[in-house]
Amino acid sequence: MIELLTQIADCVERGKVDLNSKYPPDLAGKEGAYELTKKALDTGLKANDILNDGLMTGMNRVGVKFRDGKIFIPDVLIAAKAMKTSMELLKPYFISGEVKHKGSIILGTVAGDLHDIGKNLVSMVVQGGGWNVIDLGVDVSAEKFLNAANEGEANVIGLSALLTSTMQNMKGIVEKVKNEQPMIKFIVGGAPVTSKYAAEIGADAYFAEPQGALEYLNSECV
Amino acid sequence: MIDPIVNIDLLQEFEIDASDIQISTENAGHSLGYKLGQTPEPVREIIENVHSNFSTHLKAKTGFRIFNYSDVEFGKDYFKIFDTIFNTGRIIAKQLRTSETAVIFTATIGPGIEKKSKQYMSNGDMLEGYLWDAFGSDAVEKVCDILEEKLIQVLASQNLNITNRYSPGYCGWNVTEQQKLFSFLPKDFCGIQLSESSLMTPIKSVSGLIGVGRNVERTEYQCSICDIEMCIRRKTE
Ligand code: B12
Repeated sequence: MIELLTQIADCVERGKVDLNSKYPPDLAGKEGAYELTKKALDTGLKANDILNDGLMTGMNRVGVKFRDGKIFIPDVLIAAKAMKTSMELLKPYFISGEVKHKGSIILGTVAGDLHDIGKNLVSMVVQGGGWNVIDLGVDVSAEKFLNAANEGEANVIGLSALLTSTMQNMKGIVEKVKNEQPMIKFIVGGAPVTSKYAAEIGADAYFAEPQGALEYLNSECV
Repeated sequence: MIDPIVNIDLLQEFEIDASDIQISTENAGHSLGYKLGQTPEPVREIIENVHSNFSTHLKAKTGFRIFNYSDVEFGKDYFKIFDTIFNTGRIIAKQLRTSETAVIFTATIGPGIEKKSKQYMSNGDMLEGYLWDAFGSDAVEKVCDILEEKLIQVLASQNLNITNRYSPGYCGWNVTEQQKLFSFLPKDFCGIQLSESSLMTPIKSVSGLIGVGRNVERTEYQCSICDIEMCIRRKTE
């Protein structure tokens, strides 16, 4: 049984989505994360254990390797696909409440900016870590972030920006939302952002990459 | 004798053919972070697919304006075109020091590649989407290289050389100074729009400046002049 979970974690880590995935070559023709997750459910393993000790364990290894510069963005995306495909099988358990997200995070690229690759990556990694993501997209105004915060589902917001000029809009967003919702936390990221800037605008934390953000969510926002 | 460069004031726009955008799979993999020859599958396979399918989605344009010798002035941490002062900071100003005049340029690959990338992403195919996006970044840099070659051709007859290209947002030159650059170009030049927040659309666009003169030269590695240690494009050689 435990063996099965280890295999699931390995498949996610190595990006072996399902039986049909040709790569990695040494696993060609073998079952992937999807089939193994199905098997685990069929043999009576708890959905929660499959998520925590299988899928998330694999994805966590990926996040760490990316942070340490051992793998690159495409590798993260391949792993995330294996994770996501298998997560489909767990959906009913989320709906029934048997499995719960760790929490919800609102994500968006700030007003005046259209760059979303970085934000999407953060989204994939934190979802892989068991978080629900409310993605507001790009060019998101302070108003929209506030409205989403007022929905009450999330207690943390992640902001992304590409340029030093668009990054300036983070300040107004943090101010406006914290004004009405002082308990909500802000994490910020994107190429021009620094921890110094985060501190200046009253954001709670800056991360250069998604894994740091996930670890912060797990320790400060649950 | 009249100095030939006094007479230059030239605006040109070109369409670049997709067949001129050649990026090897190896180089594409390399710009994603992989060591040469170590791009794994299925990344390689998708890159190759992008390379054989991008041409119908690409609408590359580049253009430049060369200014009259007497309209441009270079200072210790700035340059000036007519009465507009560009505060480049010292790093770039130093590289332009020996220039006699300047060229403002833009380059773009149009919105098609971006659209394709977003399509994949919204269908959940993140890897394909990302590789189309990354291709777009490499392609627009390639368009800039082509622009440099065109400039060299235009200027060769006058024995003028060019410096490397410098863009607002790099090496201490504020990204908002793009507003000044664009003020010297016709509206919709190359099909690029600059927003109030100094973001260009299409996203895969580049703007910048190149120095021109008899005694200037392009250098292979630029990174040594820049102080942004964290830049992923930083070359350590
Ligand atoms: C590729 C690239 C381009 C490409 C494509 C850009 C695009 N958006 O598609 C091209 C060549 C077109 C380009 C153009 C320009 N660029 Co450029 N570009 C880059 C480069 C090399 C990589 C960007 C990228 O796609 N990275 C990959 C993604 C996945 O990374 P990311 O978005 O940063 O996200 C990661 C992290 O930041 C983080 N993250 C992101 N969001 C969030 C959010 C949260 C909450 C958290 C926790 C983390 C997080 O996690 C992600 C994964 O690790 C960066 C340099 C760099 N080191 O990043 C410069 C960079 C972004 N560019 C820069 C500039 C200045 C420009 C131009 C203005 C230059 C010019 N004058 O032409 C133009 C602007 C284009 C426009 N449309 O307006 C500057 C911006 C800083 C500044 N001064 O404003 C940078 C930082 C380079 C530098 N100077 O160091 N660029």
